[in-house]
Amino acid sequence: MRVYCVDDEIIILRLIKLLVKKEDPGFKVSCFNTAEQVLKLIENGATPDLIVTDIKMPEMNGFELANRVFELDPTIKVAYCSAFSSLKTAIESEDTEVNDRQVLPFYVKPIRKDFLSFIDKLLREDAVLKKN
Amino acid sequence: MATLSEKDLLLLASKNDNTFHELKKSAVQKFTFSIVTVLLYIGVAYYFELVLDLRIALTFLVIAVLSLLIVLAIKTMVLFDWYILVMKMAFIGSIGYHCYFFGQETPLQEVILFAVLTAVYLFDFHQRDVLKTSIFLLFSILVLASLTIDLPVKILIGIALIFVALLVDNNLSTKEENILLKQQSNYYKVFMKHGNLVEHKVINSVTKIMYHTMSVQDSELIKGDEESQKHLDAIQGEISFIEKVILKTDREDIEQFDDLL
Repeated sequence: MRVYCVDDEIIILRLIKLLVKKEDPGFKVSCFNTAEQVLKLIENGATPDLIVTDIKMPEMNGFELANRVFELDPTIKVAYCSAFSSLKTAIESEDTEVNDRQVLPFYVKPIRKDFLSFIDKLLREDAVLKKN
Repeated sequence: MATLSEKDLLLLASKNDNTFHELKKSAVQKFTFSIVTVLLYIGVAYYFELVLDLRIALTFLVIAVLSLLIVLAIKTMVLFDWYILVMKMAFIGSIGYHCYFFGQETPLQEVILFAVLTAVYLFDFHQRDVLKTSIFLLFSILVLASLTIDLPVKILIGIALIFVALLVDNNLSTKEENILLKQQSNYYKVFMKHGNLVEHKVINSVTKIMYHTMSVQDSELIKGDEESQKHLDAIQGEISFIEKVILKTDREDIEQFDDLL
């Protein structure tokens, strides 16, 4: 299983890597600090099972990234990880509108040990769906 | 610093301007309506060859046109408030002057006098400024007393004016309350958005502190140092406290507040 984590804050990506290193969760995590890097990889065929993206990012926010990912490959699972307290708050603060496809699982920062459980749960749900 | 969009900053900056512009717009509409009414009055008076009415109407027309131009030129709320009061007194004064000077009234003049007095009361009565309202009422009573009409008619006109004023006051207050409620709702949204952006920054910083704490904890140099370990535990305790306060208590409060609105 491969997971892409996207966040414009390098330190937060380092924390995720540290957690992965410590906990050894059984899935591979790659970290990126721009949405464009992830889109380029998917276009080149390096498709992940799950993308966990920050919402507030300078060039392209998490909502736009989710939309672009679904356009490229609708089977990729996407989730948000943000310092906003809820999806509703994030939508209001970003002054944007989202469609039904962009309403996705949401992890509220600060990132704690249960972040890996959150990813694991999503991957398991996905695996069950694919099995069925 | 959490950043607000240009649109939100403009909304906050226009807080005081909005009320002023609403009132200015309303006054301009009323003056325009007055001018149209006075022009109709002139038309009727001219048709029936009522010379006295024509002279009164021309005075009103001059006051109404000047008032419209002055209101259009006024830029501050204080000047606007005082000008409206002076203008109202000018209207009533001109009515009193004509009645006193000519010492007689035509039937049409009586109707128009009442209509104009009523219209004057419609201006800005809802502002609930005790000083200005008192000056205006005292002036109105003096003018009403000077009119060469019977006392019972004066009392009736006085009662009718108070009734109309209360009616208008109630109506305009409700309208203004609705405008204010809408404004408050918009300011609340901007305030909440700003709060959310601040919270976003704080949470991101907390996450970074967590990373640095974990990195330091893993450092071989720190592992044997009891004093440093104590400080690291204290930092983690504070992080947990921030998590508890921001993630749980605050958000529950905000959700409850949201439900109330």
